[in-house]
Amino acid sequence: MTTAIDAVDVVVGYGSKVVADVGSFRMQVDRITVVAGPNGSGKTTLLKTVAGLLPLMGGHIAPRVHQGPAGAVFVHSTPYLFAGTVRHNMQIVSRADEQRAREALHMLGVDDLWGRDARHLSTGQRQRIGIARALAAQPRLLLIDEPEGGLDAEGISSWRRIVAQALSAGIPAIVIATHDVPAWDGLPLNVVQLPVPRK
Amino acid sequence: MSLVDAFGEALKLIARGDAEVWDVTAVSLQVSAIALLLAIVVGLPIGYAVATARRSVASVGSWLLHTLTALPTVVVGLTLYFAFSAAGPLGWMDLLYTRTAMVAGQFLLAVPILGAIALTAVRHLPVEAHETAVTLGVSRRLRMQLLLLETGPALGSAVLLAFARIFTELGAAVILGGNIRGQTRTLTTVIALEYSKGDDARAIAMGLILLVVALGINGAVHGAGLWRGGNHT
Repeated sequence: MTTAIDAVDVVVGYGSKVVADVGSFRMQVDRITVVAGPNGSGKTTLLKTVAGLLPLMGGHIAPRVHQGPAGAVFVHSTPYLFAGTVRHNMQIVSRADEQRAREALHMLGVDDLWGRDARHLSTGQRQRIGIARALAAQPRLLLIDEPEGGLDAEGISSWRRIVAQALSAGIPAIVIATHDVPAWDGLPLNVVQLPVPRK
Repeated sequence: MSLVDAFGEALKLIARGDAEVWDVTAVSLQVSAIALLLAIVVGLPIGYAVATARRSVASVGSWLLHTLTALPTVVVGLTLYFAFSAAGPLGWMDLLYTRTAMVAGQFLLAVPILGAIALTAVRHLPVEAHETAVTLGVSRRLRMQLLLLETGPALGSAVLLAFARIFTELGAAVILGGNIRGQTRTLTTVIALEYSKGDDARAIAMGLILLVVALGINGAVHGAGLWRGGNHT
């Protein structure tokens, strides 16, 4: 299996607008790549581009990871949950049978929400469901946008345990966008610092 | 006969269970229900496809769909009349003055309404909905179903508006159906006929039923939506 995904001279943006000239960085297997930077620096745009949701405006990524399950899966800072139950949200993942979906929920400690209406969950619960849903897709590259934004101190600590579990459960590479580089004990980090956006 | 007398006679006709009144109501409901179902199957995917197409195609498609929502019913009727008439390109199908021809007319009227509303509703979904479906590997067909269902109440409104438009239209029904008793006579065509014959009571009776069915279905569906919405809050 490839041990790293290299992004070389990457430029990201929307339409014809360049948001960030990111340069080169490496997303290594068994490591967490932290994309850090202030608001507007292009963190989300970079993650969406790596996930294949936006086209690359410059540079290249090699080897290119395909979009979707078993490839690159992106999780929004506030995961979008579709109308219906948590079960429905888990089972729309093309590779997730019921057992895998339940295992992913169990890993995030929210397996008791299986039959609950997804639109009536707390922010923390939504976030866990969103990540569980992504894990159920068994990605090679999991990209998570500002996962600690809506969490309290306990939530953050629990979330970091989950990331450690995800790495040990075989998600090869994880990329996280965040404002500040987290002081993350015991986990290998690879930091990509984005510059302050030009006015 | 005064309006009040005509109204009283109309109520008696309905209360007596006049056979023609109910036959005509059944034909109207049958034709509109089939046309609506077919238009849902075709119109919603068209709206979704236009909403998710690349910008140039989406702009033209959106303009076309919204423009066609104002299709005059008589023009649809006339166009299909020439198509289905013996000398027309579809004359071999022998459909003129049949319920099938009426269904075709109502179908063409309903498709742009369903397509235009679906298009607007899908466009107004948060970008996160589209991106989540894509990143989770939802197949194109399932993605369409998922995102259309996600528009929820907007789709309900589209279906109701389309139904209201075709159930109450006269132009296409009279031209394509020919107002044949027991075959293609509908509530709207019989109202026009009875009015022209001077049978005000029968025209009013049919009008009342048309009103009750059209407003009743709209009111019931919107009421159910409000009730469900109220239970959520």
